[in-house]
Amino acid sequence: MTRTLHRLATARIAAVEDSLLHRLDHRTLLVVWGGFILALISVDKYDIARTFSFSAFPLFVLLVARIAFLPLFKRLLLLSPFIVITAAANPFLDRTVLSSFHGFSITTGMISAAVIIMKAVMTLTAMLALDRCISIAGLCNALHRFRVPAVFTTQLLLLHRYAFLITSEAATMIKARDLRSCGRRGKGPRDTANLIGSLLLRSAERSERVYKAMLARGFSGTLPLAAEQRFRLPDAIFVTTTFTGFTLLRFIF
Amino acid sequence: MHMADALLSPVVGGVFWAASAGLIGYSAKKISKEDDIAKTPLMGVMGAFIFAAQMINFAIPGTGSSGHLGGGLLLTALLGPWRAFITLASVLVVQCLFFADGGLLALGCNIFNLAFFPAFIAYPFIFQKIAGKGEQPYRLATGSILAAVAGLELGAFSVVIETILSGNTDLPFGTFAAFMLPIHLAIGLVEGVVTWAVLAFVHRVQPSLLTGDTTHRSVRPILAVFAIAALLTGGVIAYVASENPDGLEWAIGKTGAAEEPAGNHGGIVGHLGHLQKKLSFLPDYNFREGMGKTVQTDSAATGKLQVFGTSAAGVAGSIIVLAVALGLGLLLRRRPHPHGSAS
Repeated sequence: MTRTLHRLATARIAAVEDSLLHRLDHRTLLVVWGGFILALISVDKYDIARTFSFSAFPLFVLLVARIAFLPLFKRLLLLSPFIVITAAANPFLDRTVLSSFHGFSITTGMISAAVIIMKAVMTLTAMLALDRCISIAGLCNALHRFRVPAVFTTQLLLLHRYAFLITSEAATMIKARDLRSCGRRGKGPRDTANLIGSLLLRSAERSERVYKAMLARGFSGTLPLAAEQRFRLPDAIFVTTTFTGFTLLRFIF
Repeated sequence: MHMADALLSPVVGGVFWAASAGLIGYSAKKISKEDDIAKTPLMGVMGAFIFAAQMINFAIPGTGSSGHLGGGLLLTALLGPWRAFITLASVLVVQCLFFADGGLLALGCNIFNLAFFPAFIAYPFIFQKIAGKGEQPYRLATGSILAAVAGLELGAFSVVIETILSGNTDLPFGTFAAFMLPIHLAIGLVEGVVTWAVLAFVHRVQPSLLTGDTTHRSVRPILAVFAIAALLTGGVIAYVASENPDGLEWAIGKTGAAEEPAGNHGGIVGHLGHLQKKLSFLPDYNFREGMGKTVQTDSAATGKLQVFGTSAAGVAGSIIVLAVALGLGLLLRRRPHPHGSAS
């Protein structure tokens, strides 16, 4: 929960760090990251070498954006059990022997499982890097310019604004419960439902106050967005270079 | 139950992105038409509430494990389907982009699996039919539990379909479904009980919050058609895509031509092909002729050599690409500008 609060707080700041990537238009970041993920996951399930070659992009962004490796590595260890279980099944179900090495057989199932794990690690690394490079204000601005409805961008801004406050409130409630419960006492579904219900009522009351405050400040249905980012020469160079790289990795090398 | 990019194919991911984007657009249009700006801050705060409520764990009796509320059904009971869908989608976008929960391409699938089913299927077709206005406790309990179970089971089933259609896992459909559905049945039962308990609490303390929304009824058939179309389209396209690795090659094959046509090697195409051969030192994912040439005796040996060549070429190529990326990264890695410095 501490990490969540910290992340919610930092996402409010336009640029947490300063690097080449942090200065790019958020539309550029979204398009390039989307292109990377599309190119990577379109690689054949047995093409381990080509999949591995795509690790160049996460490595590049981690270096450029000056993202620390250790916290990232810790987060990667928490890879979704769903992915791990799905990948782990492949060696047992696809036993076509591809090669033998001192009596140890390498099967196609092992290759496809390794490819799933590699893709998962790479996409997760890329997303963790993206999450360090974008701010909520920049994201909503980019979405607005991609013609996403104002209802949705306003919702994102409000959600982010109040997630911080209400998560802090929930953290206080959890601490109060933990201080009063010895072991698992008071932590069952029924007591927790009352706790969640109380949080819900407090949230609803807060929304009433927020609405009145917003009306007093001339609210007419949508929130104003931050100053528009511009697509400049560095954005064009970044998009062109990365897409050329993805095309080369995917189709040529 | 968040889907990850690694298990998806571009076609399946793209189809569900389109379906979810369409639903967000349509829901936004319906909300704009209602012109009720008082509910805008309520949506924001309720989204934040769901975000926070998911962090409050509770002990699951008799198991020694803990769980948390998903909140899809609860949110729909408070805001109605359109607003709940937009709110849940916004929570999933924040989770994806700021917490790396679920992938960017998988976002469409996650919105569909975790927001569409509780908002547009479980709530109107099960919860409202059984629970009504929530005045009778046993009806509220039955409606909450059945709707939560249905929403989660449909979402889990959708995950199975999306994963199988993507073709990255070798798990058979039956085995995968038999693994996923019972787990989510148990999760759904717990979710239903907690949702019911929260709704009962709110009903007792502040019933005015549970007014719900009935505007969804006129569009139920449209949404049902939308969902079926998305699933069918995903299924058909993914089937064709997995059976025929390249649509163009498939189409050419149907005409009776070779999979990779010899083509006309003159003109600009020929020149570019020639240039590619010159530049590409790992053509067709193998070493170029003359690099590591060996004596080939029979077809089996040729096959093994090709496998070795392909693997070695792949590893070599990957290392070179990594080295280039590493070099570029270090080159472009700048020291941050000191804040507050005069320019």
